[in-house]
Amino acid sequence: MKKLLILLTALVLLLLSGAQAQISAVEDIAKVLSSSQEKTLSDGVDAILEEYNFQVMFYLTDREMTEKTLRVAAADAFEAAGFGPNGAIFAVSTTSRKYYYVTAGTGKKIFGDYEFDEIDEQVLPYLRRSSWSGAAEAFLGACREVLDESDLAGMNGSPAARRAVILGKLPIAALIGAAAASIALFVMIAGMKTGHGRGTANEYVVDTELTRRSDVYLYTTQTRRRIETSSGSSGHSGGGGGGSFSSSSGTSYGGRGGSF
Amino acid sequence: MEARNYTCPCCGSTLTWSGSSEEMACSSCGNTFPVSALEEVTENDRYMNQTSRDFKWEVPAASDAGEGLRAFRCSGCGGEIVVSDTGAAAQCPYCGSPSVMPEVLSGDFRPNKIIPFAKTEEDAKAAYARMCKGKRLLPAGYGSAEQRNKIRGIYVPFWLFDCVTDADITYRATRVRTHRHGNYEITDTSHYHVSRGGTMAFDDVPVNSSTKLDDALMEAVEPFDYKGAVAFSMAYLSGYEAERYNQEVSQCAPRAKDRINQSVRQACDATVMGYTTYSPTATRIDVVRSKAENVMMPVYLLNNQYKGKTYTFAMNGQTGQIKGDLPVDTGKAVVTWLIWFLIVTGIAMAVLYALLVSGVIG
Repeated sequence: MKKLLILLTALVLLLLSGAQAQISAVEDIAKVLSSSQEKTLSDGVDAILEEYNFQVMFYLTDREMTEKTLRVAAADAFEAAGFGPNGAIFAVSTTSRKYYYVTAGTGKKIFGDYEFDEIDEQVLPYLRRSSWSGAAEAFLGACREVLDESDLAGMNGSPAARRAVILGKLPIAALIGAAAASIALFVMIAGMKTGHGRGTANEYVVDTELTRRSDVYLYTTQTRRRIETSSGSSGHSGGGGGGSFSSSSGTSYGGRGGSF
Repeated sequence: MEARNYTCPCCGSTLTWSGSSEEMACSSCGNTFPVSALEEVTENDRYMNQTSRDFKWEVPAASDAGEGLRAFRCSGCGGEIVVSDTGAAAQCPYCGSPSVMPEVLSGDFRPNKIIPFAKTEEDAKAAYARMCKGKRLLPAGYGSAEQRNKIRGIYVPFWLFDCVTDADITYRATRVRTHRHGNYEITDTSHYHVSRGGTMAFDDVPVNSSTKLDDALMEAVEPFDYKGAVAFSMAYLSGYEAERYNQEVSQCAPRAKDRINQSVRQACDATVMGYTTYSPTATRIDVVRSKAENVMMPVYLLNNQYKGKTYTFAMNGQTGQIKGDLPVDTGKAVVTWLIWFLIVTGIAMAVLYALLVSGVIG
């Protein structure tokens, strides 16, 4: 009986590890990509991973999903595949016609509204035409552009690129250094000049009787300012709905999504 | 003019005021004498000297000493000592005897009170050494023992102003309340006319009454503890320098008024509460009762030259409060700035690198 239990446990673990291994960077549950398209995307993902140490994943499903369920499913798949901690997932529900860019780790910092707007411009036209591989490739290209502009690319790139990124921060560090040095010098010099006069005679007050008080209301003025709402700030028909969310395991993700 | 020094009734050596024993002390035989007893003895001696040896105290005519200066003969060695026309006590450059000139502080110039020195010259030297210690930007050799030996105790004349002020200040004040109504942020600003008034009494606001001493520096070493003030006696001046006032009450009163008015404004401002903003629109401060008296305060002074500029150190001779300006060595300042710059820039680079590696910034 005991041997049987061990055998069953081993079998379950084997099946589970097999299931995990099946999840790849191009998770085409909807079966909308050809094997050559999958191969092209997979090669692109590997190239980005090697160049930037940044994991890109595609999660294409034909299940009916809202943006919220779609992003959680994509994040769960990202974790199940053992990816992370830094990355971006392009999740699409082909039947619900919803999409979501899920960002993880440094991806949450690199991808902001501006970057999502840029990606939307390149990806949405393909999605509206139901060109899934076109959308995926556009996403991959847009991701590369964003990563190229971020310091992450240099930090994970060649030694020269890494050096360039670090040296690029030198003006900021020098500015901080100059400000701190100036403040320190100012404090030192101020400590050497203490012969200042006194502006008041507070030490010599022996009695204070400020008994006359009057507060007379005169009038009220009113100003109005329209509060700018952030809704529709993406400027795209499909854009909207973003912010932080957690996967089933509780890991925090960022991103933005919409309909197409 | 007659110069007076106080001699020990026991051994005849010159006596100086001892802040620690609060009596006149003899450095030769170690005896100390109460000021009142000594005054009586000295007055008697003076009288006796005047009647018997009047010629000995002959003073050269003022014209001999030049403009703004006067000369007197040291009663210890007979040497001629030249001091400013407002100097009331000095040390003989030939024999080192301390001498005082009662005529300089007679009549209207006689102070009402004096605060005797409680700190010694050694205290002042130690304080100056402490002031210079650890100052990285100080020129090399500045604050040396040789410089410290130039520290001198001086009785500085002050006018002490007592007054009662009656003030009224009006303000324009606002209270701002912000709330949201639909898609609008509404800001209501209520305007008020506020007035505050009343009386404030000030006692003994000091103003330096000698143009030879810097007003700001004299204010910097305030406050003095007036509980230590005693009736003026020439004996306290022995061993120190002293100046008589050369600015009348009317000339010093504006400075006292400025300080008093500022205190009144601050006190009134502090009562304007519950408003978002307020600013004074009109101020009226009247002095209803006032008086001034001439008091001498103990101050240790040291003047040093550096690159053509005079840097003065002052110490309150009663409380030990030290103030003054020290020169800055430009070369050292540049090196210090560079060291700080390199260290902080290095640390900032390390932090930025760590943030880049950890992905906090990208």
